[in-house]
Amino acid sequence: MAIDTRTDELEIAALAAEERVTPPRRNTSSAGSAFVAILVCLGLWALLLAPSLLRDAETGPVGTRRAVALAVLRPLAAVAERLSVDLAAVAVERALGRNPDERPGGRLELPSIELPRATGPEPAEPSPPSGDRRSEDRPPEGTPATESPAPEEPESPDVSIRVPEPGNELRVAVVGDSLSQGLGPAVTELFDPELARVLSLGRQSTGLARLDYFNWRAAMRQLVERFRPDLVFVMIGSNDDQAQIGPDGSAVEVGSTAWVQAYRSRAAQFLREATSAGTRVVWVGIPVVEERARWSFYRRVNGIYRETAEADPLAAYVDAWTLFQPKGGGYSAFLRNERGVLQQMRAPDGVHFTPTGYGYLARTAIRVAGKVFALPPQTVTIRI
Amino acid sequence: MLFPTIDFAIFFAVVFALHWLLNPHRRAWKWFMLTASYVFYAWWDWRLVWLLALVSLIAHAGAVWIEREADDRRRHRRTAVAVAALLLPLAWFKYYGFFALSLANALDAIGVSAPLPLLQLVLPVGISFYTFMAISYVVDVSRLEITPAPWLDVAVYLAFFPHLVAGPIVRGEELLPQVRRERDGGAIDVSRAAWLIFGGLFKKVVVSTFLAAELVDPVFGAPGAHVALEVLVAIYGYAIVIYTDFSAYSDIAIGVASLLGFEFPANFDRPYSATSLRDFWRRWHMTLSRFLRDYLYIPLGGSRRGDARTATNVMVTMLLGGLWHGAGWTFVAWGGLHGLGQVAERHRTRRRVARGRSPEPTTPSEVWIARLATFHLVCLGWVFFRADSLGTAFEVLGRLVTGWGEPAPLVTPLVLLAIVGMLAVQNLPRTPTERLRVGFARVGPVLQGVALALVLFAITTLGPQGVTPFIYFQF
Repeated sequence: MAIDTRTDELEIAALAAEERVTPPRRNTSSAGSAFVAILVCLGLWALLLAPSLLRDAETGPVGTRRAVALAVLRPLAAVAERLSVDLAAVAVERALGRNPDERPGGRLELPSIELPRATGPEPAEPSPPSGDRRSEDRPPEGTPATESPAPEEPESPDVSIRVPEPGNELRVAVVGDSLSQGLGPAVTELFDPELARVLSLGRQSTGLARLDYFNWRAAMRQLVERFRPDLVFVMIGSNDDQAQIGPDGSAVEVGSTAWVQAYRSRAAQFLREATSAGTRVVWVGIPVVEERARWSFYRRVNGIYRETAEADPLAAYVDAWTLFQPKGGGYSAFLRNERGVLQQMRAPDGVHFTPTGYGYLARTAIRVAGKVFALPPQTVTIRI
Repeated sequence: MLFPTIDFAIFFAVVFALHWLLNPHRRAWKWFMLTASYVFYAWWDWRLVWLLALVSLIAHAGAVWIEREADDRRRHRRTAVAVAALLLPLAWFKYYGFFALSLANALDAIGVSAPLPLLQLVLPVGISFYTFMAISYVVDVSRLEITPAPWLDVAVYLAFFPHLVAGPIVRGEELLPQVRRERDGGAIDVSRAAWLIFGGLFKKVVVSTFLAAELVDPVFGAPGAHVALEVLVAIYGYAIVIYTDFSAYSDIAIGVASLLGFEFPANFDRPYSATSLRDFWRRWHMTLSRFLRDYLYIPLGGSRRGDARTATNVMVTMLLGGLWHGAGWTFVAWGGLHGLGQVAERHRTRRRVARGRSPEPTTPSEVWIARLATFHLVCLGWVFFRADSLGTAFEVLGRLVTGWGEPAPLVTPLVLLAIVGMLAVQNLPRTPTERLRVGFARVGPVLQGVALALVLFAITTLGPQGVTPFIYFQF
């Protein structure tokens, strides 16, 4: 697109001449020497990083790729340890302020936050009046929900989210996997920055199945202690179709009853970390995805999230599965929003959303928070 | 297969060895390289290989068909048919969804149901790049600049893995002779290749990923939640992100090809040191600029048919260049901005010449003012390019005038260092790096390997875990 005032022909001639000038061949090597350099480079690099590569491989999904990687990296890591070359990687990690022993998924990075004294979410009153009350299938202003009864007004004032005051804005967080990484900015955009501080803390490739990679339970505890959120949006689970690795390295195979029991327990513990400190939680289920082979698993874990949320008075569930299904069921990337406008809501990968889709999901989740937890309407820029 | 992955490192080590072993046996080499390139492409999705093979087949058959016609007018007609056939898959995958959705909503407004099924088509990675190369090949045959090559050569030319998914857009006259002839296995410029590959890895893995994650994505994802300083720095940050991301891919591609004994044309030349938008396009995505100039702007009449027609040609070229990036008003705005800017520059240049002044800035202060003005115009364009809608783009620009003086937590010293550092290197002389490269070339292969391992170790350690796909894969 270089459009010049000179005549085009002259320009072409000049460019062609320029291209025909071959760079001077100085200090060149033979293919054999170059191959030696490549092998030395890759071999030494692998040796230096062997322990870290091994840790990464260990947290990969159970399967052939992981098995091959472990078979190659275990002896390499042993050699690195014997030669003490792994110490270089450890020293560099420490110099960068990282902990080389932490999980490969890293840790939750929270910005420095100054919390007002003696403030925080009000503790919850026990026992919710009704399980269905906290299960939202459709946005309040959209088509009425078809599978769940209409939610009742909250009966206990204790589930209401506090009204923010000057200097003590509402504290909101969005956590979970890569789906939540898209939801986070969309939620942030809908809150009034004067009245609410929103942290988007989603982490790619994480979930509840592989706590050896990233421990969301511990991360939630850290978040509650340091940020004392009033409201947390959770969207997690799309990577969890794999074995759960226990603290001793043993694998609980996906599809087994033991897997479901262990997963249910993890979901409950994760939620308890948040709500036991009084934080209200809106748990957004996994949306319908294009690949039908995943449907059975996602529906099963969505059932677990729903049950877990309904069992807790401070949690509400958003059924994103049906929210993003077209009228006749199935999957479509193109859906109508609250105003009936047809929009492309799903990303080409058939799992994630377009910015438009995330916006629709964020509005829905916020409206659920408004309905169930009486989220103060002045804190958001949409009608709830 | 992404370049900055272990998968690619293993793939390349194997391909490198076999490439040089088979180099003297050209037919065997061509089959090997075709297979290796198809494996590289199939790493994303094996079904894509059929599309690449189809485009190669159309290009070859089209070129042969065109060459057989001696009459100019008939040959041009055949060329138009071949180019349309090559563009069809690209148009289908790239624009069908946008077209069907727009039509459905338009008909919805008058109560008519959508006549076309709403299909979400995944854009095959690299389709734009190899389609453009195929077009350049058949058009060059039509212009009698080259003769049709054997089908295997054409297949290797289009599929050659270093350029396959994000360019550079290499023309037939540049690459086909290299495919045909044995490469010189005794003259590999390891120093230049290493500089390009490792420099590219640093730009992508460390700079681009860091700035995107820490600043640009959060701000463009929720501009309303960020103060003016964060928004301003995020706009500068995106200029660096897109440059380091895309030029990194080009550099690695050129470096990898160079290790295999192939020369690719340069794709970037310090674009943020440009003193005008025209200059910018001589430095940014140079092979696309060249493609649009030779196969669109000049056939439209170029600058030879008067000022009004030239301005129209510039606008058409830039708007189509914008739309090539995606079906959306943001890309139209981006292309339109660059088009209008260049038309205005031409007008200004004419006025300067009429007053007896040099058409280009001459004094250092003039040069720096021109550089700053060009950079900011380019940044304005990037806002539209990056935003997911015109509304978001205007919201980002609107935030620039609100919220000054408030804390800007995303503007950290490291973020500023990355931006300023990458801008500074574009305006520094090249001599020190040349010296470094010459020094590196003089040491033996084992020492070279050790040095490169340490650099790679540093890049890996400094970068985050996992690598995001290159931005230009989506185009």
